[in-house]
Amino acid sequence: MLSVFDIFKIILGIIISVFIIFVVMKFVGSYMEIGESGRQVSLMVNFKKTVENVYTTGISTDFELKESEILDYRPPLIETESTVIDTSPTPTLLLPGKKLSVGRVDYEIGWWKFYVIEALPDTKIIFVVPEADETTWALVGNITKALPSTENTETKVWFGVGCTNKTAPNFGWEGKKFTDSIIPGIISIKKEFELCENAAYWKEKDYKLVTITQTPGEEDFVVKPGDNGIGHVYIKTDDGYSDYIYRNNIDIAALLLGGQIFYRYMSGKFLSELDVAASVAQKEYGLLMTNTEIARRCSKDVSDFLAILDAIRETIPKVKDGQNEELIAEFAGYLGDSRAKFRQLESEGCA
Amino acid sequence: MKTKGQMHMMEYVLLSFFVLLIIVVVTFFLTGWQISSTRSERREVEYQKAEFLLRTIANSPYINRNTYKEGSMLEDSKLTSITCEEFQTLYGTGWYAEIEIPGFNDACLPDVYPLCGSWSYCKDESKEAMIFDIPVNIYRKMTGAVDAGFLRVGVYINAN
Amino acid sequence: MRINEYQNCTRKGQTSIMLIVLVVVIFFVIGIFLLVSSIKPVNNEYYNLYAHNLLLSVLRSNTGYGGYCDTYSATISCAYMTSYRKCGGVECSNLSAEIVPQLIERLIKPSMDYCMIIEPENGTFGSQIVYGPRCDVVMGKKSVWTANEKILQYGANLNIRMTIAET
Repeated sequence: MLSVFDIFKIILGIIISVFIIFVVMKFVGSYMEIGESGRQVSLMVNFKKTVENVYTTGISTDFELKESEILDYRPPLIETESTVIDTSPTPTLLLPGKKLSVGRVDYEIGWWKFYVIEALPDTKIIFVVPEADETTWALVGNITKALPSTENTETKVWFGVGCTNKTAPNFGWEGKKFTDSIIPGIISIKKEFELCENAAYWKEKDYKLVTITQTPGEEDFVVKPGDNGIGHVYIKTDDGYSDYIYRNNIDIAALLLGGQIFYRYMSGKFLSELDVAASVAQKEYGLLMTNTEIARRCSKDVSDFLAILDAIRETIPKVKDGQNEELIAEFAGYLGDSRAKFRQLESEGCA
Repeated sequence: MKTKGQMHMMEYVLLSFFVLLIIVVVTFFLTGWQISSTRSERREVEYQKAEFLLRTIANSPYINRNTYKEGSMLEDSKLTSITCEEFQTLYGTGWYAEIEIPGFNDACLPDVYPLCGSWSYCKDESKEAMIFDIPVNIYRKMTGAVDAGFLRVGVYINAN
Repeated sequence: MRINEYQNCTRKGQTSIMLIVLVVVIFFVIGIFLLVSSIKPVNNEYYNLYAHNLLLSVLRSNTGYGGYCDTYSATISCAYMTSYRKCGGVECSNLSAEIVPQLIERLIKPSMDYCMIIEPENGTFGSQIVYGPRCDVVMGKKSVWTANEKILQYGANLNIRMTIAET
């Protein structure tokens, strides 16, 4: 027969056991949550580190990142369940995917370089070129160069041209090969192309179709080249088309990868860094002109260069919203002039 | 007998108390470890920022000489022209940078240039910082000579 | 009955002692765990960058002598390939042995030591030139960081290896 004390021991034992189990389960539960959050934070911090490495070295690399990890990406903020990562100050365009190719694209005008990091999963791009003239091919090449060339990564961005017989694109090359060999080859044989009638089929297969034409129709993404390296991009929406003016190829790449959000972000970064570069260049050349020997040799050309930089800096705030085509054309003209003038300064030993 | 029984019960309660004490103490220790682990992760983030800034500034096209693809060849005219605010537009806030050529103490202001060898950006003496430095070259634009010096980057601790 | 009571008392005493020992062991294990997790890993990336930049900065700097000894890399090349040549009235082998360590010591952190080895590229024969007051100590250390560069001036095909370590 159990004594009172035995009963007491049993009851106390049960209470203590329940308490121990409760505490342990609660702790393990919250630790698992902390562990999972910690893992996610660690992954995103590693991603940021990879982006920064590629930015400083220019050497592309692969990165494994589950698509489900990213809840939202509004550059420069990447939002996951446990954390928000800011990719600043590195200009970064990201398309979520399981495995990403992280590469750097350089925009250069001699006296200034602008680096953009693009982190893309396996991506397939077809240039639809019904009017295959010199301007079109030049634009195809330039847009390709504004996207990463993935020779050194396992994750690939493939390029192709279409369509012939209304259905079949010529497809399957990485950026460098596409611009260096394929496009010149196609130009040399004077191959002709038409619009892709089964665009919906290619879209379903995750191909991105970029139609380059002077006469936009019903296509999803159309680039209408203008003069001076600027033009229009038309993106199909639910109630018609959105019209964007592109100032350079990075604008086109941003629109292709992420629409208006990417365009505005990249445009903001581009113009603010350009303003800094122009300001530094103005002060630098002002300093150099205090040297009598340099002033004697170079003052005329340096004055012209400084005037162009002035014009660029004055136009930057006016082209920020990307609406005024005339001003944007003027701005693009100044950038072209600055490139040419800088080359001249370099050849004269004044740069 | 009664005393023995009471002692017996007390021992039992004491044992139970010890077991509970172990659980509470272990809980506190693990929580403390988690907090210090979070703090060291914070340090790791600051270290990563400092390392990134060190590499980025050493290779920055805004202050490097174009023709040196390996980077770390900073042009003295560009260093004298760029300001803290411009650096912050490019690379954010919460850090400072200094470039020094040993033996040249004069700060490079436009009116002293080119007879100087020290540049400082965004330094706040009152703040604590995590500091790293590396050797770099400085290209003297006026003479074409190349000097050796240091690039020092400090990330302010607990800054944004 | 008495023997049983005695045995019971002994068992209870043993249980108490075991519990105390358990508490002590748990504290000990936690203490060791916290100590181990507080040991910081060395910043390899930073020191690799430091070694690379130290070597690059030294090689690219101007010596002020001009001619065959315009830069430190040219001076080293001259010292290896044509040591009889003179710069500023001094044979370049002697000049190199003097100015290269001087510059490295001006640039390197006080808490670090170095060893610079100049030797022909893999596959070619030739002797080594070594700069560094404590090379045997540096090369004997477990934790070192190394940078390599090539010099191709004046027909040279030299590999320059800079190894650094904490003192």
